[in-house]
Amino acid sequence: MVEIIVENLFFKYPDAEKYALKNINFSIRGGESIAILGENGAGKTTLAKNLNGLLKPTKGSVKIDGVDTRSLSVAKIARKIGFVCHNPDHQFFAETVEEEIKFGLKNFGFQENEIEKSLSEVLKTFGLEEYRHRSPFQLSGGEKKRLAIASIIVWRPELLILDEPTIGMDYAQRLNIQNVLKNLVSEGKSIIVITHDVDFAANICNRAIVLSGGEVVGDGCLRKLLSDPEVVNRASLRKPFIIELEEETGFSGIDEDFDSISEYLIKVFHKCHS
Amino acid sequence: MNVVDLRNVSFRYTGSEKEVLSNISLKIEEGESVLITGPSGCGKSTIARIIMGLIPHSYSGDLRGEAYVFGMNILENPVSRIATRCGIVFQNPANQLFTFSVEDDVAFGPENLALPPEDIRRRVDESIRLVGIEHLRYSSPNSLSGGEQQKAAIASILSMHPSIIVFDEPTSMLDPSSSISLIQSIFRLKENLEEKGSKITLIIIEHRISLLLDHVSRIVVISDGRIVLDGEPMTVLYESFKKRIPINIPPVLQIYFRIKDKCGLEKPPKNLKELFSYLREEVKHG
Amino acid sequence: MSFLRAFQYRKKDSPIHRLDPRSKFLLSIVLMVFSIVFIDIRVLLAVLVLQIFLLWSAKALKEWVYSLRGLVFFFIIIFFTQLLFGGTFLIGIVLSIRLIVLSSSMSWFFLSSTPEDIGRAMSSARLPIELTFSFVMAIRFIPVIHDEFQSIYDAQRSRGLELEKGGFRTRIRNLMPILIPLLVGTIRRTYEVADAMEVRAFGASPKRTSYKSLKFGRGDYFLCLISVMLVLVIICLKVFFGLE
Repeated sequence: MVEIIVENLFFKYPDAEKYALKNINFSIRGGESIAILGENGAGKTTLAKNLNGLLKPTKGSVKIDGVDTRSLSVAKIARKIGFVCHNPDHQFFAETVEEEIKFGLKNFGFQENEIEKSLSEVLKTFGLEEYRHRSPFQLSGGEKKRLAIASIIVWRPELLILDEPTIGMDYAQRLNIQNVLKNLVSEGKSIIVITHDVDFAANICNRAIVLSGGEVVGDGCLRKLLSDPEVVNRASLRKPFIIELEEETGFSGIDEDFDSISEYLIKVFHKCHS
Repeated sequence: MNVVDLRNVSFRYTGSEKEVLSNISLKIEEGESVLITGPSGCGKSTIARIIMGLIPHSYSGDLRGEAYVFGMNILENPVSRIATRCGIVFQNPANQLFTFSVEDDVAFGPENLALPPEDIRRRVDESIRLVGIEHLRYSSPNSLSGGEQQKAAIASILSMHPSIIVFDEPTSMLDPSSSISLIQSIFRLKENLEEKGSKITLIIIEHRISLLLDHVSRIVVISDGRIVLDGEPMTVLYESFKKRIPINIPPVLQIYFRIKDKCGLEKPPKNLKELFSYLREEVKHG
Repeated sequence: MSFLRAFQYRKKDSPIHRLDPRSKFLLSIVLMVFSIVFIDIRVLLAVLVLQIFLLWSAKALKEWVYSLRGLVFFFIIIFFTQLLFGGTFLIGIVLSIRLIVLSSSMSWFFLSSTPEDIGRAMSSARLPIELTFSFVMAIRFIPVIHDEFQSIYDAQRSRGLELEKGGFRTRIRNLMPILIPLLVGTIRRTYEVADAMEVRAFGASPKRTSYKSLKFGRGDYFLCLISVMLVLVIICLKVFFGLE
């Protein structure tokens, strides 16, 4: 299980005058599902890129299993920490879906038989078998997103970071990605989701790190944090629907399943009525 | 008067086997605000391209049926002529701004129409004011946020003095608060124009229905290249719910539609608080 | 990339920025001629001092100094070839200064003129609108495409791609995962931009108007005068003093 410790992290882009990240401290242990929340420009993606070594801290440190990211190559970190960028089109180049998925495995020097095994496994779990020999460019938006995740998860990184997985996705696609990630979490994978979609985050993540203006304004249990109006307002977020529902009904631990919620409400309604 | 009139329109892009649109008929009246929604890949953006005449003039393919915009047959009129009556704001904000200051971009269209400079200046002033981006007038698009770029794009369409504006997923690349702000400025713009006595028709293509539900008077649902529902918003949403068409029905309504008959609710709630207060009332008086 | 920054327009307000690009262009050309016809270190230094003054008044010294770093590579080549072909250290210095003068005369122009103004100047020289606009847009989209390149590079590095590894052929092959998405993205962007231009009636009328026009002011006439005088200086130095 990978462990990340972020200490007094400050980050400034080479040309910028202001710090994009200011004095960030937190640590991540295995088996967590974390949402990094905040508005555009709050520093979410910058923080994520500092976690996987694409960016190195200006001040302070990020340590992965005790080693400072400054002394690690991006490839070395990527083996442990997978990063799915927000736009799948930024990563597709191969002629077939199969080749696209194999790319990472080859880079990390997997054996041929291992490659075949992991490939067919991941094609199955992500429902991409029928597209195996198609070009990635011919897939629909939702399928592209699934392929993007599959092509990272295939080398089994210990932690998966996803940058804005729901952006531009419609209702069905979003639900699909949500289920994919839920399954990963239930298998014990650690994930970090960078998003401004609070409903999506509330459905898959336990912990939230809330950013505003490059600073952490909240870190802890997602449901607790997002029911705190101060945190929500400071980061220009919104209370997730399930939390609102919990507050209205007085129940806790509700899942976003409209059928069972509605059935329950009808039952209570008729009880009160009679 | 029907400002948009599509009659049995079908379209297939060159190189693709499937028709993206099959036999679409759609009439839109002057002054309406229409939301066109549907799962991605259903063909909604293709409708926008047809209304603008980009299909068939810029995209090759097999177009059947007839399409009129303000009585102009799109086959017989170049895009630049249609553009004087009908404007479009696209999804990607950065790709719609070509110059180094917002005002120059707003002037771009009128300059192409070869209007006299004083006229252009008046249009630029007015468009920038209507969208509420006076403070960004001299900024370079490269320094603007996505939401600001999108507003600049609207201003640069407005300076063409269109009577119809089509928005093709205008918020899909924006964060929630900029999306809300953008939608608000679109409808404030409509009000302002109406106060001045000019009617404007808005056609918004979007899958985030909750953003627009309070603003539109009609929803058209496209699925698999066909219009499957068309009408008053709440009726359309209820029908899509019953037919299980995968569109983004707001969560409150998801619950409301499931319980409304059994709990005797009539009025659709705007939010959860309202839903529960209706329920309580129903328990008390029902 | 750092060298290119010397030519990337920055929005600033200075007397130089407000000048007409046509007069600035004239002066740049004249200054360039100096570096081409003279090799005398006194002349070159004098021109360099004038350029530094111009860059300073355009508030562009910082960018210029930064861009010099990009020239280091060329300096090394100059000194290397001098050593190789039996030149002297002094000639190396002279040639380096000459290179600085040459690039500075253009960088001063580009740093202080908006691409649109340059475009307007091109239009007023009766160049076709398509050409003028391609120029303006190329500059407008450089940072956008640069950002896209960075995202793609980051995405592929996160999949274990290492550009520094392997021999020449491997390295070339390793570029594909970056170049292909960049190419696909750029083609898509081109279509989108073309659509956006078309719906704003680009090409509707052969006589496009421009609501802002370039104005030749007092400063511009002054600049032209200086340019003419400098041409005279060049002729004098060459003919009467026989400087090389």
